[in-house]
Amino acid sequence: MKKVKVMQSWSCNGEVHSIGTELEIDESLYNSIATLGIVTEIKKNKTEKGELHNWNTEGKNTNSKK
Amino acid sequence: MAVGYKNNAIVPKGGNILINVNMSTALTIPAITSSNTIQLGSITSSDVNQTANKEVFRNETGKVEVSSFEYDNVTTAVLMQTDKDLIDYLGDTVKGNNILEIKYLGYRATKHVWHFRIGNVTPQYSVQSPGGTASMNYEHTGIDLATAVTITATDLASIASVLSLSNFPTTAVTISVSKDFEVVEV
Repeated sequence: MKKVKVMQSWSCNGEVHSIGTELEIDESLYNSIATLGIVTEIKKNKTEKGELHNWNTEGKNTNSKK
Repeated sequence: MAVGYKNNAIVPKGGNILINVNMSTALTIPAITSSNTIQLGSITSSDVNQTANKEVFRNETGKVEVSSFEYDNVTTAVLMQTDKDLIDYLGDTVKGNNILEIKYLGYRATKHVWHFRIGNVTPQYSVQSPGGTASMNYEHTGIDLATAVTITATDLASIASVLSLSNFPTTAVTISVSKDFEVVEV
């Protein structure tokens, strides 16, 4: 299973998922839509000690100060 | 596969399978049953197309600066059957509903080719005598999707099971907002 964020309004499994919704989908479904930009994977970022640091969709550190 | 020379993609005949999945007024694939998922029987001829009306904008020298297009996505077919169930479906059931249309385009370039599009079926029927085997005109007009629609592997397996289809796609098919149709090779 992959945790994803919906980037375009998306109808699947009898439901319409609006933009910004986060949900888990199986890997084969993810692979079939990944290139269409419908969802983006939310990645777990862990510290070097293996602790969960944050979740984000781009692989960037969203906790960093501007 | 890329566009290129494919001698085995030159095929004059079609696949003779036309499927409608009645989505009611929603833009979601319903739980597939024999009530909402039907085959429309044998087809004498069909045309699955996207056409574009072109408008050009010329500068004051008369040369074209830009062109603009308006698209129509339409499937037409002439059905061979003229039974009551088909007349009731085409004449009434389709009214106001979104219909997922799946057309088997046939076997070409070593693949079974299926065309998916969502739209509205024109509520019309015609039973001519003589000539009844080529009078039932079917028309499906694709709509501009505001929502990408995925037909999951489970949905596809259910459709194949309900209609006893072979060589039908098994992995999820998504009709994107930008294309409004999807062609799948199996």
